[in-house]
Order: sequence, then C-alpha cells, then structure tokens
Amino acid sequence: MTFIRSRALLALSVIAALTLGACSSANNEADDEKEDSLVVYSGRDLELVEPLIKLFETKSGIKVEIRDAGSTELAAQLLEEGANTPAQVFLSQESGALGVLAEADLLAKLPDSITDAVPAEYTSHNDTWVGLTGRARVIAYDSETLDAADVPDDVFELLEPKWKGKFAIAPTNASFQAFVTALRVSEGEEAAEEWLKGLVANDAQVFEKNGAILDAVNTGEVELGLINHYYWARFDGDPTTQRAKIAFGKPGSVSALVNVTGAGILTGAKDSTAAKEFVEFLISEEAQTYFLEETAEYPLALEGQSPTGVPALADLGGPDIDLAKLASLEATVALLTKVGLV
Amino acid sequence: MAGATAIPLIYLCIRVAELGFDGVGAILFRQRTADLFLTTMAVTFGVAITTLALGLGTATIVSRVKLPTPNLWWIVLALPVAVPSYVAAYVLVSVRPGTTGILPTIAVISLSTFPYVTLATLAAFRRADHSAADVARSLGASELRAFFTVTLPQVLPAALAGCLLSVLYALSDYAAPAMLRTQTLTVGVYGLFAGSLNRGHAGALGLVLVAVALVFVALEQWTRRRSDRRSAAVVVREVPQLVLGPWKTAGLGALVLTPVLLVVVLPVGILLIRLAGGTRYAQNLSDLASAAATTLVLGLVTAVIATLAALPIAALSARFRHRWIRLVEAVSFLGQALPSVIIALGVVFMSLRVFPSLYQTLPMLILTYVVVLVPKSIGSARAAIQQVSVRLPEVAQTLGRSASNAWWTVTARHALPGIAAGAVFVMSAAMKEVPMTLMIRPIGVDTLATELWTKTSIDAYSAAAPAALALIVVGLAPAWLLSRAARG
Repeated sequence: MTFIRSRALLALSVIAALTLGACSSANNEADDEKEDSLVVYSGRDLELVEPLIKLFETKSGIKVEIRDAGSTELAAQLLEEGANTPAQVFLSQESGALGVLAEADLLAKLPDSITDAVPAEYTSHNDTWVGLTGRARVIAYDSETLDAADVPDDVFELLEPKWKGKFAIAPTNASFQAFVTALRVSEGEEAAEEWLKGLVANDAQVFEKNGAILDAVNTGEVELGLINHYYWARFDGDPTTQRAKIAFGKPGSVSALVNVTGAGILTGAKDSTAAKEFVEFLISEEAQTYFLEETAEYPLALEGQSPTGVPALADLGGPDIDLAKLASLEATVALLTKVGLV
Repeated sequence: MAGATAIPLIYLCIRVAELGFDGVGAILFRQRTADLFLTTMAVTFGVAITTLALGLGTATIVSRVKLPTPNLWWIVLALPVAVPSYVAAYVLVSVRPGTTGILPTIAVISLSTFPYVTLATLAAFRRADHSAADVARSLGASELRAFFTVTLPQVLPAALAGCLLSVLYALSDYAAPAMLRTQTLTVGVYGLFAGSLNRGHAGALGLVLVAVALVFVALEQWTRRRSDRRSAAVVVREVPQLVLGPWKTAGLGALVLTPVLLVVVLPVGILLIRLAGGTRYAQNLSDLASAAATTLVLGLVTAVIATLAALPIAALSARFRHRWIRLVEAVSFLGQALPSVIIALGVVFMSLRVFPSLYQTLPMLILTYVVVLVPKSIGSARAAIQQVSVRLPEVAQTLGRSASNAWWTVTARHALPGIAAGAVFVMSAAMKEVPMTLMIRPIGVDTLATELWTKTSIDAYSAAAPAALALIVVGLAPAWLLSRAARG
C-alpha cells in the first residue's frame, strides 16, 4: 500500500468516527429533554430479561437503554462513576453488589409501596434496594453415577472421605460467598472456617463460576457441584434433559439458602418517575410471573408461588440475615483469603 | 500519548495507596500469592517459548520455502489472533472434558497469540540483508549455519517484540486460565475483586503482575540491545527461497497450517455443530450484520490512529538508546499485563475526570482503544524501522527531499510490512475487546465481541457460534490489508 493510499484510509476513518460520534451524541441530547427514556445498568443475563424489558417499553412508552455487563463489573463501574453516573436503575444478579453500593450511599431510598411488596428477609434492611427473585443453593449431581438419595442434603457431608476430589465449588463467585456469609452468621465463625478448611483438605475442585461447574457435572468430570438452581434452569433447551440433576438442601438449614437478585435506584435518579415506574413494574404480577415461568426463579413478590419442580420457598429460606451487608462481605472474603481459596 | 498509556498504572497505584502498607502486605505475603506467582511464571515462560518456536518456525518456512500462493499465507497466519482465547479454551474443555492445568493453558494462549511472533518475523524477513548470508556461505558456512548465525539474528528483535506481546497477553488473560482452572495471578485478582468489590486488594495483587511484566519487558529490551544493529540493509532483494519437491513442500505447508487448523477451523467447526443443538436463545442475523459493521469500523479507525500514535515512539526507540525513551516504552507495555477489568475501571476513573462530556461516547471508546492498544503496534514498527538503514533517508535528503518527507517516503515505506503487522495486532485486539467496550461504549452500540460475550455469559456457546464465526470472518479484513502491505 502506498503512503497516499494510507492517508486516504486515515481520512476515511476519521470521517467514519465523526459520523458515528455525531449519531451517538444526538441520541444523548434527546434523552435529556423529557423523561421518556431510562438508563439501566443490568447485570442480569440480557437474553433472559430482554423480553421483559420490551414488555415494559410497550406498556409504559418509556424507552429503556440497557448497559449490559457482569453485576460485579457494573457495581465497580458505578463505584468509580459515583455521582456522575448516567445510570438510573441498577439490576443486579446478586444482593452483595447492591449492598456495597448502598454502603457507598449511591442508592436512593425506595418508597414503601415498593419495598413492602417483598418479604422483609429477602430485601434490603434499609430500603435501598428491593429483592426481585430468589435462587436456591443446590447441589448439582451426575445422574449417571448417583441417585438422588446419595446426594448430601447438608453441605457438611461434603467433608466425608467418599467425596474427596469429586465435588466442585466456585469460591470467587458471589453466590458461593453469600453462602459462606450465611454459614458464618448461622453456624459461627469457627464452624465456617472449619468447613472451608475441610473443603480444601477434601480436594474441592475449584471452578470459575456456576455455569462451568454445571458443565463439569454434565460431562461427568465431577460428581457434585455447589451452584444456584437458576443456572441449571436457564439451560439452552429443556433443563430436565441434562445429565446433571439438582438436589435441594435440608429445609430450614443453611444448606437450603436462597440467594436474592434485586434492583435499586441510583441517588441521582431519586426523583425520576421513569425509574420508579420501572422498578414497580419489576415487582408487578406480570413481571414476577415472567421470572417464575421463564427463568424458573422464586418470584419474591408473589407469595407462595414456586417454579415447577422445586420445593416451595417457605420450605427453603436461609437464616434471616442481611447477606448484602458490606462488613459481613468483607469478613467473608477475609476468611476465604485466610484459607487460601481466593 | 506516552503519558496516557500510563493510565492503568496510575489508577492501580491510587487504589492500592488507599490500602496502606499493612493492607498490601496482608495480601502479598501469604502462601496463595506465592502459588499464584509460581503458576503465572510457569504459564508465561511456557507461552514465551511456545510462541517463539511456533512463530519463528512458521515464519521461517513461509518466507524461506517456495510455497504456492505466497501472499495467502500471511492471511492464514494472521487469522488465529481473531479467535478470542476463551473461545479456544471453551472448545478444548468441551472436546476433552476435564482438561485443566498449566500445559493446556499454555497451549491455548500460545495458539491464539503466536501470530504476534509470526507476522512481525515475516515482516522482518522481508527487510533482512540476505546478501550477508550469501557472504557467509561463500566463506564456507553451511546453509543452516548461515541462517542461524547471520539471518536469524536480524529477525530476532522483531520476533522477541512479538513474543513480548504474547507474554503480556498471557499475564493479563482471565477467561482462558479460569476456564482451564489454572490459578494465575489475574485469576487471583478477579477472585479478590468479585466478592466485596475491594479494588485495593485486587490492585495489590495486580502489583505482582506489573512486577512480572517488568521482568519480561526488561528481558526483551536487554536481548534487543545485545542483538546486532549494524546489519540494516541498504539494498533489499527478494527473499531467496528454497524450491523443494512436492511432498516436502506439502509436508511443510501442512506443518504451518496445523496450528491454524487447531485454533481457527476446529473451534468454528465445533461451534457450528453445537449451533444445531441449541433451541432457546434466538439468533438475529441483522443485529449480527450491524454488529459486524460496527466492529470493522471501530477496528479500522483504532488501528489507523494507534499506528500513527505509535510511530514517534517506535521511531525514537529504533534510533536512540536514551533511557527516557526506554522508560516511556516500558511504561506503555506494563499496562498490558493488567487484567482488563482493572484497565477498564482505570479508564472510567480517568475519563470522568478529564473528558466528562465524552464519557460513554464513540470518540471516547476509540480513544480508549487507542491508548490501551497502542503498545501492540510499537514493537513490530520499531523492529521494522530499525532494519531500515539510516543511510537510505540520508540519501533521499541529499537528493533534495526534506527530512520529514524522506522519513515518510523512505523509512516508513520500507518499514511498512512491520508497521502494518503492528496495525493488525491493534485492529484484532480492538475487535475482540470486551471489558472496556462494555463499560465505555454508548448504549445500543454492539460489537461482535459484546454479542459473543452476551451469549457466552449464559454459557449458551451453541448460540455464540454465529458471532464467533463473524468475528473470524471480519478478522480476514486486517489480515488481507496486511498481505497487501507486505507485497508493496
């Protein structure tokens, strides 16, 4: 290529960049004028919430602009952005991230009409965010080598020699860490530390995330895996056709913990009617039914309803503690750090 | 520009400083940090050796042996960089469930980054002084000895510059080691960050990554200083090629094709087979087409701007040995070793302070790509400029050209294959980039990489096949441009 041609290429590139830039800034201006649009940072799987958001757009006439990334990454981004964030609503896959943002005073207080719709144990203690759905901690097992009756219903059984090297955990994942927090609070610091040390000693197989654990159970690489039931249910096809099946923990015990996903309104959008309307929609019967039927989660605002094939929420449910409390999260990470799992 | 490339490092220091000495010590001085460090060293040294072997091997065969369709090989050998390493890792795990550990991690990262070495070396072979090898042979050296003692040292700086990119990639990669369950420092950084979002703790461990990167950057600079600089050719002839029999030619061609088949054809094939199995997550081909167009434009614009920005640094460090120039170069490389989520947060932090009105616009996204990816084009460009004899532009000046005109029309033009290889590295990296794109892109702008991320984040790899395939097809564009530049 000659130099002249590369200069032409440069000119072309600059023009393309400017055109694209102009388009995007034109959009921004339109947004500022009236509240017919809403910026949502969503850490939930986009493919699974998109139909719901389309429904909201049709019903309300409000255009929802979604920034889609991992809950952890988005929460960290919100912490960096602080008051300058363009986000109005944060949808999180896990309560811990919401708790960290609340602690940093980045979430506005929600009206009682929203927070009262969900049982107190599944939502924030200071009304900064609302729980939307519940996901049960389960043990996924390889149905080709194990019967349901063989599968432990208490996580302490995993420390038995017969499971040595045969089970998987995801210690850096928020859902596992929430479980450790629950364990610390319900069974005490020492018991939690003993359990974690026992996992390491019993050669727990360490994976990156729930989905990877499920894959490993589905291929027979491990016999058991600690995950959330949601990951099993969101399978690309009929979930019951998987080789992996799921077993729930003993009712009432910490093994039957339910993790919470939720939503919060950012401080800068505390007066936004669109933001409030959107969060109200998420706890409406229509949206909650969608979660129940399409993503097989426990709809926290629909009392007594459970996805098909899983125990009722009342039969599960962990201890009544604030899983999103930052001090508690940090103590959990410190404990995991101490035993060398993170 | 040189200052801007330090943004990730500055951000890291700010977050770590908040932690205090005791906090940093608590993270650094423990068994796990030592374990992560050792694993990381094993992976990076493995990647360094493997990419050098694969890169030098493929480049030597393609440039020294007469193969059919010479320019097509440049395109073929550029393709692996279009495949994200996590896609390669996923395919490996799905073909052989239970694959874990350091060796598979080295294999996956090496296969998806060895073109950094191959392309830089191919460009260097074009500029090498082959008459020196002729002289060596006329003095009685064997063909092989002449190659190893005379020709190879001339292309080594370019190969090492490419190798450094592979090493930095290995240091910063999260998804592939995590999927293969290899606990590297970057996996550790994510682990510390995920639970309580404590960026200080994660940053403290990130410091170890920077220290490791520093060792490799220094090593590369040291070997480069030791390599011979006087061999810049004034007259460049066509590379003399060996003509072999049809069987030997076919065999060597197959050898060169093997890594490409493993990391490009095999994954795409497997994803396409999986595509038939998925039922739930819909495909929208028009979305995919517009994402492909966006990806191509963003990649092209970024590559052009980043290459122009890299030229001053490359030109200076090719001609002068001043330690400030070495420092600027080193700083720009160190950021490359950091996990991309830290780099992305650094960019968010900085752009809200410096250009708040541009935050989450396309110009800012492009600027971000340029700042973060510019080091990818420096090494290859520098090695190429170094190979152009300083006498050439001097001659042009005695013939009446201005200094800048002589530089552009003589030096830059002769160094074009190497500069273009650097541009390809930038372009494919921009097209594959995910964490920064997710945070900085304007809402509604989708690239193929973000489409791929959306599908793979729900483990719907079957539904990810079209986006992965499109990413590779779009990757043909920079490869094609490179083969044109190399011919010119």
